[in-house]
Amino acid sequence: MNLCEKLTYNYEKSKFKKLKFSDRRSMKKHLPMCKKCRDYQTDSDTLDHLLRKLEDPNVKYVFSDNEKKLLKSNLKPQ
Amino acid sequence: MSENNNIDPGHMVDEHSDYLLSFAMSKLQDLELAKDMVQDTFVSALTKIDKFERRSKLRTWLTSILNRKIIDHWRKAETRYTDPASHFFSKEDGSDNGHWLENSGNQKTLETVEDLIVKDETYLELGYCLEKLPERWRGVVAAKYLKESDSETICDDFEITTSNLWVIIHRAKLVLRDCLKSKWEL
Repeated sequence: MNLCEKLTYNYEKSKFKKLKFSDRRSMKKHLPMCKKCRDYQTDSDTLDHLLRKLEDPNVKYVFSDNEKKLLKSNLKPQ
Repeated sequence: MSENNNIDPGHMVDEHSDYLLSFAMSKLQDLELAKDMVQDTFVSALTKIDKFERRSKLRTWLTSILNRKIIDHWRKAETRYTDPASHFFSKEDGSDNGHWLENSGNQKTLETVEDLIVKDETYLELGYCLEKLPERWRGVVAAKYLKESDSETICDDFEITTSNLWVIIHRAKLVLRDCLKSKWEL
């Protein structure tokens, strides 16, 4: 795992739990020098925001009446 | 005849099919597959109805059968991404020049994409990108962000460890980012 991979992984991990001191230190040292990792953090936060707004919570999936009829007929003993 | 055999299949479909379909869709995001899974669940339930002991509600029992089928499906269908995440990053010496990140001339962040998406009031492209994820990853991402389930629930439902959860989220985001950037040619 290269350093950028490890640091971006740790960035995701940090959203779930506090990182070890050594990991935090490593991130703090690396970030000012690495635009890719800084961009990853920005993108990661943007994705969090976008994904949370993605689905209408009221969307509900239903079988049509015909599909239910078919389901029932498939369940009848042959 | 045991009392368990008194369950009417027609009534079971009327009462539980839509709930089970919504449950399946929260994990699969593939309507046809989800419908097939629900049908398989009813078939399985009827063949082993004698094992239903009424200690739980029928819906809970059906959901557990469906959940098991979804996990089995993932196990069979899962093709592991063999690319290590390092694929998405150049080497420290800059020698890796084969990846989109290296070749894209205009390295904007996704905030630009967010502006476009919000402006258009559509999330279709992100939905499209989500569909490119391996099924299990998609399910985990849906559970984490769309349903906002807690980590413990996600790990239980998908039978993964917390470390696996972080790895999946990390890699899924790399794929989504790649997909969105290519859509908007960033």
